[in-house]
Amino acid sequence: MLDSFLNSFPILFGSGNFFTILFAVALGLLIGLFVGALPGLTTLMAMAIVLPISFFMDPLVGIPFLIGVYKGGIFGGSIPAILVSLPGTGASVATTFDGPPLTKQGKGRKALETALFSSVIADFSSDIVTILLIGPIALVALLIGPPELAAILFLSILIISSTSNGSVGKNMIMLAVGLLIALIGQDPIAALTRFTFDVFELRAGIPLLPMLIGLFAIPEILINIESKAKQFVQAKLNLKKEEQLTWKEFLGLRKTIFRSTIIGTTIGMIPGVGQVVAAFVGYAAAKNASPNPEKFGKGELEGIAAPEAANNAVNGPTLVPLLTLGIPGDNVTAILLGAFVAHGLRPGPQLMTEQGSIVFAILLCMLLANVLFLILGYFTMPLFSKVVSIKKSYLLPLTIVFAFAGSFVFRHNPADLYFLLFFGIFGYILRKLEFDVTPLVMAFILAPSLEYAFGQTLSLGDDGLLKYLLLERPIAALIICATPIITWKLWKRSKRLRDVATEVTSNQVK
Amino acid sequence: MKKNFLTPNMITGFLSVLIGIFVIIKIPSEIEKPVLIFGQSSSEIDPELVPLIVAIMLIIFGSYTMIKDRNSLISNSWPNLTRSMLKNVGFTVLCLAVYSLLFNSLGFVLASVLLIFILSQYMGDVSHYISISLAILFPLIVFGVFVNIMHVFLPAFPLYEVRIGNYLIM
Amino acid sequence: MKNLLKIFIGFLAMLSISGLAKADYPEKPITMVIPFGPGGSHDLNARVFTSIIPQYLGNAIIVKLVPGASGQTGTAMVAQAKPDGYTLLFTHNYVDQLQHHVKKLPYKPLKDFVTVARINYAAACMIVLSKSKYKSVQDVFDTAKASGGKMKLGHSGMWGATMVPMAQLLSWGKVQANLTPYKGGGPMVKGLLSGDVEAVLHFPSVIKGQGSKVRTLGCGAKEKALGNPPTFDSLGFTGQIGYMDRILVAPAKTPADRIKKLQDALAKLKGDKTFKKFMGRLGENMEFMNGPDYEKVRAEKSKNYKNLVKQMTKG
Repeated sequence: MLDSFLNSFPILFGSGNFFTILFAVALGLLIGLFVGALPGLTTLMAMAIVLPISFFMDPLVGIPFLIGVYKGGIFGGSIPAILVSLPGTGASVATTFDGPPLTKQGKGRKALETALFSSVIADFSSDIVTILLIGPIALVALLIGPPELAAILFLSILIISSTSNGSVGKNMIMLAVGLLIALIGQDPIAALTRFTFDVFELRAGIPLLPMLIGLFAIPEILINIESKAKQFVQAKLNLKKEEQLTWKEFLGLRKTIFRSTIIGTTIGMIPGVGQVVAAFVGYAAAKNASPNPEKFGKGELEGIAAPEAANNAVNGPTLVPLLTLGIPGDNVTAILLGAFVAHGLRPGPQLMTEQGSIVFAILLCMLLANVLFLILGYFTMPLFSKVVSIKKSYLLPLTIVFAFAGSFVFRHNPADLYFLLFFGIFGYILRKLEFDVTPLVMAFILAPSLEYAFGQTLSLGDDGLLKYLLLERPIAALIICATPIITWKLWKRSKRLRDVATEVTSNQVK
Repeated sequence: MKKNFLTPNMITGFLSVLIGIFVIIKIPSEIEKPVLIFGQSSSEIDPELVPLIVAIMLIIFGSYTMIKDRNSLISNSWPNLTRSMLKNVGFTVLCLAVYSLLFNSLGFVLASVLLIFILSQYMGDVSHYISISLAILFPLIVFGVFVNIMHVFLPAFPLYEVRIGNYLIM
Repeated sequence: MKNLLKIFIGFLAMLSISGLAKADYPEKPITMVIPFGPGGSHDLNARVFTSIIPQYLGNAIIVKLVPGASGQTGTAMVAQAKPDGYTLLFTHNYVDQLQHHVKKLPYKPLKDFVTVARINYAAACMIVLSKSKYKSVQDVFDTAKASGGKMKLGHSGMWGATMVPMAQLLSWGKVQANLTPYKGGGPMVKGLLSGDVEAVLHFPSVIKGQGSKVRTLGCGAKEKALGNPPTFDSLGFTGQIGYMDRILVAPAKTPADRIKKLQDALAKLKGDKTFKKFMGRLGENMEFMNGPDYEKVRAEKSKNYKNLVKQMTKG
């Protein structure tokens, strides 16, 4: 393996193709960024659309091109999330907590730059880890099966719910409601309809993106509209000079970025968990570790660095099962698989032994993509942040049109607009009643996978579940035992915070 | 300190319990029965399991909120809604509802033109010229990019296909 | 430099796909709905042939991914679309001919859709780990029987392309087994590699990538690349077991001359060199079958599936 790695350098740099590759990657990054910034257009769709173009390129050019689209897309979703509270993808939902408040304070550009630097650093680090530890990571992927996944997902839901704001009861109600919404449609295993009330449109379940846009973007818009034009004049005065991220602020973030990188890389190694969970867990962990957790959600830079770093750190390890075992873990890797195959390369154990240097060359391109992205991003961020400096009276209707277009394009289903509207109103009411929507969203996203993994576990352990877990799946058993301990500790801490908050509020009342 | 009976938490807790009960009632009728394959159920988990768990959670935590958090001091205040706020939000929601309908029946471009123009005028402090220009340009650009470049679909004007060359513009 | 040029041309081509010369049908790009998510074999096959067909058809075919409800959402969308030849459905036989026996659908696949053509098919093979003791399909059956139906086998989705053939084989062999579902082909192969399940069915294009890690016990069709394992037919399991037919269908009321135009373009596609190259790379064959021929196959398969389902679900 070492000589494959060493051979990759001449392949990449010496072939004379190098600048073409750089150009292709840069182009991919820009396309991905653009598409990611448009809500409803998933990176997946963008990759599927440009896939045929990559067919006609050299594999060392075409595949990095697609990877560029992928990386650009992950970050792209954060742009509308920060600027107008419109999550472009599921992974950028956690960025809508602290992004919009910062934008309102005139620090939009600072927020974007924080997101950019956190994402790039985390991505770069996880790519290096991937290259160095590609063998062990593949091993981990094989060890994680349905029982482990079920245990991890369950633990994640508990971690994220127990670090949410507000009262326990309300958070758990949100969790239950999220599960309830996830139920509507077909059950993950046997596709039996649940709670569709004979409405065919509900069979495919509640669509994710319209729901997210409804829960996060629409309430923000409605809250802004509450006060009409009078307030807006004042707001415009704040945006005279765009604040940039200072070196000092950046250094202050390094612990958060480091923590999130580890979280994201670990989650990336576990097939089936994904960027959304990484972002939320990163956010929860940062909030938990911070001395001032109450600042989160009000415009705290750490609140942007944490999810952004985590969700980008997932990228590197996610490719490992594809490259080493030939197994695509999710739709994105499936498209990459298609790209590989169309170029005559069959990823899997055969490829690693026969043409390992090409694989490593592609991984090196990933590293390069990060550096390129830093440069490209740095110059394009100011352009994006200028967008929100137009008058609110124009910005809000335009955002609404954007949100609706994005929701429609997600599934090409006219009914999705009504879902959008419903969740918009629902989200507004929840906001007004001070519910934290995070547990709802987490439950909605993770419940199907959790139920599926649990069902698979029951099927595998058909012959006696307890015996199966203890004898054949020690890792899962370990995680299950650790779960109550971790949850207890987190719950105690958040109870302490709640008591403090109650103290403070009751003092104010007096 | 006054102890109220009807606090927001009380009401949301109560609603939660109601929904939980509703779910339990509806479980038998709304969940398809698994088909038997080779004598064993095709679904390892009974599809009714998770709905049952959800309903129980809703009832338990709804009751918890009603009883324990009824007079909690944090996140338990009535929202601060003035008449003008309700008017603005109500009008906007109405616009959005009509927009959703027109989006599908008149096409993306026309519906968006109307929405942008009406809302920006309503919100005030706008120049009529910019309102109209943005209202017309923005939807056209979005439509053009989404349909012709990204090859995804937005509802087009149903009565006539407005094309320039082979490009659909409306 | 040559590559740079290629990228540029590819990009311009993509942008101008809609700008090709006008003719009568098709006057504008045709929408082809794929009722599955991105990245699957349908998506890949579709991307290949839609990138080459414009020259034979006179206009583009644009892929529209409409996943959801095991293919029902996309299929319903096409069933309700205007039958003017500008909306097509690219699906497979299990969704088209089997699903209506196990689910209540708001459309009737055999009545509401007419086949334009079968683009190709893929025939599944049974694989086990090379280090396992199984040397033939019969070995697997014997173990299943000996374990009292508890032997662990995997599949990639209920009533899907790897589950139905498995069920067919098991019912032929008169054995039962514990079928564990996986979310798609990838996780299913991982389950096999980790040893969670003992045997699965999958398609040759994927199996090749695993190299010597897996052993192929039997295939739906002759597979030279995998070392010519026995075909299911030769083992006595007739009826095209394991065949996933990728079919292009149109709403039933679509004018016949438009369907004919599509069929002619697709037939010409078979001879295209680039098409052959890419299909070869994907590991897929190009066994094209004309619409009318496939209609006969369609009716018969539907009947077979009906019997299979009846047999499987009577308990």
